[in-house]
Amino acid sequence: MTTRRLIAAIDQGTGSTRCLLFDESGQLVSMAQREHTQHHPQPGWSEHDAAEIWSNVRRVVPEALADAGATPADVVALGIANQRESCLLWDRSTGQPLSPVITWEDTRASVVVDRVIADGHHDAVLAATGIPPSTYFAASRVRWLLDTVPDLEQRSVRGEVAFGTMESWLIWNLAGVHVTDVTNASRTNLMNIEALAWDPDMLGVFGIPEEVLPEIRTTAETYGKCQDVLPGVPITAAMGDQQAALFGQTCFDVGESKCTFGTGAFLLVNTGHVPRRSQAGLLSTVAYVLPGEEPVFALEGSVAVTGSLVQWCRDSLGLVTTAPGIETLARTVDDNGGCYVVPAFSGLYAPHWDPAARGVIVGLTSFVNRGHLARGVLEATAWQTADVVAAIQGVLDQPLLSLRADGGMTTNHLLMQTVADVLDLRVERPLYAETVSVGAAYAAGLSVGVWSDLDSLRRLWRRACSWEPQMDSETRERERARWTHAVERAQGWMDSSDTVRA
Amino acid sequence: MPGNVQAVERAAAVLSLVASASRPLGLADIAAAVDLPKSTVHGLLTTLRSIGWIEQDRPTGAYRAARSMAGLAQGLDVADLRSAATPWMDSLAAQTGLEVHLSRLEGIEGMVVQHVYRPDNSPQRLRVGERLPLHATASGKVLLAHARPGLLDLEARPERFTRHTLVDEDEVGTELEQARTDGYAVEVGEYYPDVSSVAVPVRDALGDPVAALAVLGPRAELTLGTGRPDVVTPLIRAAGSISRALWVSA
Repeated sequence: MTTRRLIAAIDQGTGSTRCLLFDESGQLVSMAQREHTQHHPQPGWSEHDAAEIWSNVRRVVPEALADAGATPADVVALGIANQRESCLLWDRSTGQPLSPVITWEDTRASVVVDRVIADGHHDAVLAATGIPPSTYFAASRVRWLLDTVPDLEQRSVRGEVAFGTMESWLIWNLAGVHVTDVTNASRTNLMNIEALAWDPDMLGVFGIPEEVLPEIRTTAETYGKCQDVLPGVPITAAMGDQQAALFGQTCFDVGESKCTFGTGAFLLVNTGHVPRRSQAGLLSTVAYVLPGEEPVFALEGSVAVTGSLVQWCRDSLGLVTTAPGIETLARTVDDNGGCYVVPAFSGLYAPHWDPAARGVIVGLTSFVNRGHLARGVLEATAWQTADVVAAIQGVLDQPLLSLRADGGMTTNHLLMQTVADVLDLRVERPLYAETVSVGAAYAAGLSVGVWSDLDSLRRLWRRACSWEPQMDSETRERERARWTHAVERAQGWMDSSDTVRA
Repeated sequence: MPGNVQAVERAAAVLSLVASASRPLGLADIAAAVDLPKSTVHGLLTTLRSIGWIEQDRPTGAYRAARSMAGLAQGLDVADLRSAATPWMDSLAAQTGLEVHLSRLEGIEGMVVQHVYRPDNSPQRLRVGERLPLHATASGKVLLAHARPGLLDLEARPERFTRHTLVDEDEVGTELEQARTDGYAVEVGEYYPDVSSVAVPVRDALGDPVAALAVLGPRAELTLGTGRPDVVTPLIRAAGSISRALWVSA
């Protein structure tokens, strides 16, 4: 038997940890997956167990190998993609976690963020790190832990404690080195977006001792060799999951964009070698950095509620029995019948940025039936995406040429057609839906020369489906005006005292 | 079946047809599908409507099952089927390098419910929603071979699309018998002269065929000789995976 050259990808996600093996043609060979427990010890708190996640890695990797009939000797490189912003602290000598993994959804550190803003640092943080101070990012959570866990601050200053996002934690356990990749570091509120190095001023603003920090490395280089799980295999790439999806969709040119349609939607656009300023609720972030090359940046716009609106229709309204069934229901009618749904369940994100907004269903008449409501639900995802794209178009010099879509909602043809219609852009779905793992594998394979350059990766991208815009501009503008009108109805619903409580 | 009340049988046939359709059906569609005169079907529909089991769309006059009937006679939702099938269709396309279709029986035609492009980035058109003739396509033959007898008779006159299209009732019958025996059906230039296809059934938890899974491409790429085509093995494996995904999501 000829020797195989497999590339392994670990996708350490919010809900589960997966291992996927790919061959040199980029084809998926096998996959294993294990979910981990979501802990919510208090309202607004969201934790994972770092030890549980590590033990899941130790299970899914051998499972994927076994399914492929492969051994670690067949694997030439390992790439890691991870849930972004979630982080923990651990003991450098024992390797034991000193905190739970506090996830990106957790809002406990709002006291820290409030203090940073009250002290007048908002603009400085935004200018230095490219992102505003927020509980979403890691720095405030580290400070919260140092404030809360006894002795932690003193031990940190003595260099006994390590901080890391999930890729750091896995690389530490696999290869015994303390590093982070630059895309993950760009989501901490601590890295200077121009220098791509820890920013001493930001460490001061958030009160983070330098001694806890990992070394910032490029996206695709050898960080070390696995001593465990895949003995001898080099770890050659790491990146945040949304950046990995952008990479897996091979959006390597300025203006190329991808949108992942899941419970929420994440739209990232490659903006080239200069970071664009965050504005209108868009975030400036590192897309990837290859060794010896100029960094590549992205603008990111997220929509909080897309697939989760459909789940709400299923679980809270009983409108449909399954999430995909929303399409069948929506197809029982030809249009929305005048009904518009704005799912501002916890305020509006980019580009409206209104925490006081709440959801509305407007335009109801006796004519409106369940089908119209289902249409309105799907159109809400399309129009929210259109709002983000419009904000991005306002910052980019060139128009987007198409949108590469992935995620579970791409099997919904009515939604994807509506997205194409309201964006007036071709929407394309790639053959390999697992774009996060694909991106990690591509970067890892690129690192060890399985693929020679970005062009050879670009050639691996395969179109599985495409949707061309069919809506005339008159209809589009009329519908856009009505959607905007509906959004205005949702804005400012809570009075300020309610907002604080939320 | 002696002793069965004919009117109940007919009403049940109408109700299950209407309930399993993905859209409201007109009187003519229903009459054609259950093979009864329009006047008879109209009477059945009027009665079912007065009981409250069937509803009529106000603007179009088309019929659909009442909400209370959901779960009683409702077939597999097409969107659920598509969601369960897509990952396996993707990997089938990657594996074979061919275009992949998933089709369902819709009245007396097949309908493409999911389409994965031939993975070569050539310009292609999305064919979801397209109707397929049952006698001239591999997918259609699979659907027909496992449908209730007599469905073929409803096709007014089997249309000849190419010189290879089978239009003789006996020839088609033999072909369907072969498809049932082999577990797959083949189309060789019968719908479009330059397109060949192989299809297998996708079964639900009861083992009943609910859809046809097909790969399509030029004849040479499907290695259609005298024996079993190479693509049958990956097709059957993918269809099995889709079935298991349906049980899990059910």
